[in-house]
Amino acid sequence: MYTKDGEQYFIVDGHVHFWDASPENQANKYGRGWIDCFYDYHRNLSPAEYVWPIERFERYSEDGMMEDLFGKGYVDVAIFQPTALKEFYHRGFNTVEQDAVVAERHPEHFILNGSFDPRDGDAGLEQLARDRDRYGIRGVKLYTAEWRGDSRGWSLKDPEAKRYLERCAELGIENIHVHKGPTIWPLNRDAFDVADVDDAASSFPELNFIVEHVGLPRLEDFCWIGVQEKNVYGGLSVALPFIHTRPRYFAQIIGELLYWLGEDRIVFGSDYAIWEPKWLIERFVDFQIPEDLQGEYGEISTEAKRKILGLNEARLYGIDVPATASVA
Amino acid sequence: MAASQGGAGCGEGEPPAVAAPAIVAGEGVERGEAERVGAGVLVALGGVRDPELDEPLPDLGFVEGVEVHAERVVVRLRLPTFFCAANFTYLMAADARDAAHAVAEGRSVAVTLDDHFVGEEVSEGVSDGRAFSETFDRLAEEDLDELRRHFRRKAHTVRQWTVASELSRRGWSHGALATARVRDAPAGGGTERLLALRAELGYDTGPDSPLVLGPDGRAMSAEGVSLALDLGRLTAVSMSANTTLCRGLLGVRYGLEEVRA
Repeated sequence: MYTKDGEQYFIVDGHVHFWDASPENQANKYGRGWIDCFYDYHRNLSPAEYVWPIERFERYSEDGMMEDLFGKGYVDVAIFQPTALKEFYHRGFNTVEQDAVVAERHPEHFILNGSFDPRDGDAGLEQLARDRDRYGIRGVKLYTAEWRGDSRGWSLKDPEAKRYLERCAELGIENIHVHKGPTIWPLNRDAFDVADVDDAASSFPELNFIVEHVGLPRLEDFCWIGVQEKNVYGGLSVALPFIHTRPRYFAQIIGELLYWLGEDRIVFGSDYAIWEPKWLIERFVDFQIPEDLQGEYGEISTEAKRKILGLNEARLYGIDVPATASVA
Repeated sequence: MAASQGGAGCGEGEPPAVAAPAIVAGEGVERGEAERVGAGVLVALGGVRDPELDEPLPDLGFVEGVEVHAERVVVRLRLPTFFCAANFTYLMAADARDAAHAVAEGRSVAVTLDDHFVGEEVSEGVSDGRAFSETFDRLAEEDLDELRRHFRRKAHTVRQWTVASELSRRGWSHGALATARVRDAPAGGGTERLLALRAELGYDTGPDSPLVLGPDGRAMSAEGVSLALDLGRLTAVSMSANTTLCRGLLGVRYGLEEVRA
């Protein structure tokens, strides 16, 4: 819980990781390149006092993470979003199994999300049901640019993917987090294209589709889908850190999201350990759209901030919120 | 909400200047000769744009340097991340090759890209003059013409919004913008770029043609114009955020304070 000026903010960090990118786990130059790329995002957009040494960034401790999220970080509930990357890291980058160990030790703090890859066929469908039974997962994180052998990724439009989404609906796995990556097959297409989310969201109105990074670098495509599909949500990771070095760009991004999607479909996520939630939350609560942009975007209300920081995602995942932090 | 304020894309001030790329003289090439040819190549590279960001490569800091050898020119490129998409990377590298070739005075042109997940493939493919689909045989279904066109349409959406915003700052009402013509556009870089994109896309550039066109280049109703301008503003925000992120990432990756500023 974060309290400022007498207002309580219940915090759901909808996007956290517990990864292992240590050099001995890197399988090839792609594993090295992946974590270096994350680290550049981290040091480019973090305030100086929140920049970590690379060694810690490659592999951080469970204790350190607990402190960053739930100690100084104000987070009430965090959602693990796995990213396997088994072609890049010997034991995977941030697998469901790695996250599960930590989540089971701190059930009051973590929600564990699963994942699926439609290239796993029937075996993957069975695994999904087992993950539901064993961990009670209510969401999956999908990384459509995951490599496998000669394959360079998949699309939510694939018939196999539809089988998986049908199974999710049957199992009550309602929250589908979608993360686009730059290396997907076929390489001639725009890898960040979110059109397949549109297709899936209209085929499965009973599921919620949370597009991570609010579709950046394709904010415009994402917002356009969001206007048409009411079960599409935007995760603020990557966008929110602009609030420190580029507050005006952040104002424009959040202004556009409020205009096209509205305050009920934007959700907070730090993308920890790329960014720490503490400074993101503090700055977001203090944030207001600059006066000269208010003619276009209006102001952002305290109620909207409370929804974005936790209440919206609490609704998606059925998390109980104390009455003092609720909105009418 | 329409193009009333012109806030997006103005961001945090003008993009900072990037230090000029290094010009290196190869063995047996006079310094003056290398400077002359290299400077010509850099000017030519100023005409090559990142297709996603619609900005010239040298302004983005993507040109690390130019080597001038007796029989060839090497253009050294660098990008903000190891995983920058292969397709845009290939377009930029191939366009850089073509631009440099036109002013290389008979030298062959090679393009190098280091620190990138398909850097070797791009460097070899582009330097050998191969198409994208030849270089990435199994991994590409077709060449990049449609991708390029798709992003030109996005850039067009942004640029027409920029010009319309300028008109609204000069007192044009929201309703009046629906009747604005190309001849009403204020002279300047924004309008020049808009007309260049219209020409590349095969859209009407005549002075009496509507200033604001639909996504397919056709004239629209007042309601359509309003939506096109809203989408232009949105796309401008997205593109500006993307550009600033790319500049920042390149800055931390290569220790370039001037790009990062």
